[in-house]
Amino acid sequence: MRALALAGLLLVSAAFATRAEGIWTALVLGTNEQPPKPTPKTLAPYAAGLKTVFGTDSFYLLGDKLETIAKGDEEWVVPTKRVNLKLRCLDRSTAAYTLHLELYVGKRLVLSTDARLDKGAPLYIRGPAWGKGRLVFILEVK
Amino acid sequence: MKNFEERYTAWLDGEMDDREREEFEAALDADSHQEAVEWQRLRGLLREAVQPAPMPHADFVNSQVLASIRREFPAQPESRPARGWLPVRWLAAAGVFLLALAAGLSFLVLPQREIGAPGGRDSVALDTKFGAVAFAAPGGKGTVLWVNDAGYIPANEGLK
Amino acid sequence: MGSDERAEEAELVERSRRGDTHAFDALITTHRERVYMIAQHILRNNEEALDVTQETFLRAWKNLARFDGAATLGSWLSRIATNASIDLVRRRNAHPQTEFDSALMSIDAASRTTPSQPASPADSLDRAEIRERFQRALDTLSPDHRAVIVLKEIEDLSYQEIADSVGCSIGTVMSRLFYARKKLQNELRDLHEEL
Repeated sequence: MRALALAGLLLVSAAFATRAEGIWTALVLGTNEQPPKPTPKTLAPYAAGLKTVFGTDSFYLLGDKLETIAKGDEEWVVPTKRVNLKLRCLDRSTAAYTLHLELYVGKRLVLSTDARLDKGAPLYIRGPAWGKGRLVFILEVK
Repeated sequence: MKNFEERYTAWLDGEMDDREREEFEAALDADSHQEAVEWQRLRGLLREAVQPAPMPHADFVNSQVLASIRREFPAQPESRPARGWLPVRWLAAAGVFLLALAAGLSFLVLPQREIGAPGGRDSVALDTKFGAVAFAAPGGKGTVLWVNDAGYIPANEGLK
Repeated sequence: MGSDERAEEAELVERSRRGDTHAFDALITTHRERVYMIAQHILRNNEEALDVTQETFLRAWKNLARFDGAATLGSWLSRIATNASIDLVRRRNAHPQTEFDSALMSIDAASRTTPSQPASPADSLDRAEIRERFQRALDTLSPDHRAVIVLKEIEDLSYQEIADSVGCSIGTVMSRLFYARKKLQNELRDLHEEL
């Protein structure tokens, strides 16, 4: 009996272990400054990509979090008064999330899409300009 | 050229003929001559100083524009001039044969990739209702969702 | 552009009108740097310049039927880019941009680090400082004046090309150049005296 319970526990643990880990979400402000600001350590893996795509060379991490999201759950990425990205988990599989994304600027919906987020492949979402900078959301399965 | 401003500009840019120039210069005061000398100097510095930054990743512009065109004008017929000497029918038949061969071989040789397999590097947009164009991030790692009309927030308005 | 190149471009334009995006892709590649430079000069912001560059080619695609070949394609695209850039500056100015207020968000203000006061005559000016002074002086110009100064002094276009790009008469171009130059000279008078 004990062996069965242990086996069951191991199986359940294994099941959770092979599930996708959490989704790391971040809100970044990219600007161009003279001289360019040093890149925060957290954003170092993304700086080159951000610079190439968005043309900015200084980055500020306005907020980030890492959490698991269960199927059907909703989450707001670094919620603010002026810009909000909502995620809803449509599915989870090994090392991937399928999400429904909605981006609001004020009350205006500017993006509505489903997306598959694979581990090791970040999703960059171009947000609104803020002053002379650009807000960018980064999502990655970690 | 009617008014003083237009004539002065033409004079400064060397756009007058000799007669016009002589007449114009004769009527100019010393200060204006001095200002013109100063401007020529500043103009040289201006050209040196104000050089634009090189265009970052120029090919993205092409891909983004073309993606927007294909999204907004999905029915656009793409007419390409016929090139080469092989009849189109033969080319089509050869293409179908090669595709079938590849499909058959892929089942035999290439591993099947399931959605979300470990090591997948896609992260794709699946069903964008509106608002964005998706393209591969630099280095083939990840995806960029380029929201077309993301709007603008003045700098003096806080986010929180 | 030689006559062969003009003929080739005309063919690409014609194919683009018929919906050939591959032909249009080639046109984008030929003209994108110039369009970007114009936008970048007027907007002084790389990312907005990229937005305007894309917007320019998108508008060009939609309005190819109206391009009659009276001006060159380059001038026509320059005009679209200039207008789009000026529009954006006007929209931007309707919401005055100030430096980021660090109290509004827990980040460092994205402020300039160079001094806002002109350097004293006793200070020696290095290249970066001269560049900064010129760029700030350009910022004081209206979008229309900045556009003509940039197109004339940096892009070295003729009055006619500028008029085609901006969509006004040659006389207006020349008047705007007069006032823009005067303003820049006033803004940079102390710089000139120091050098």
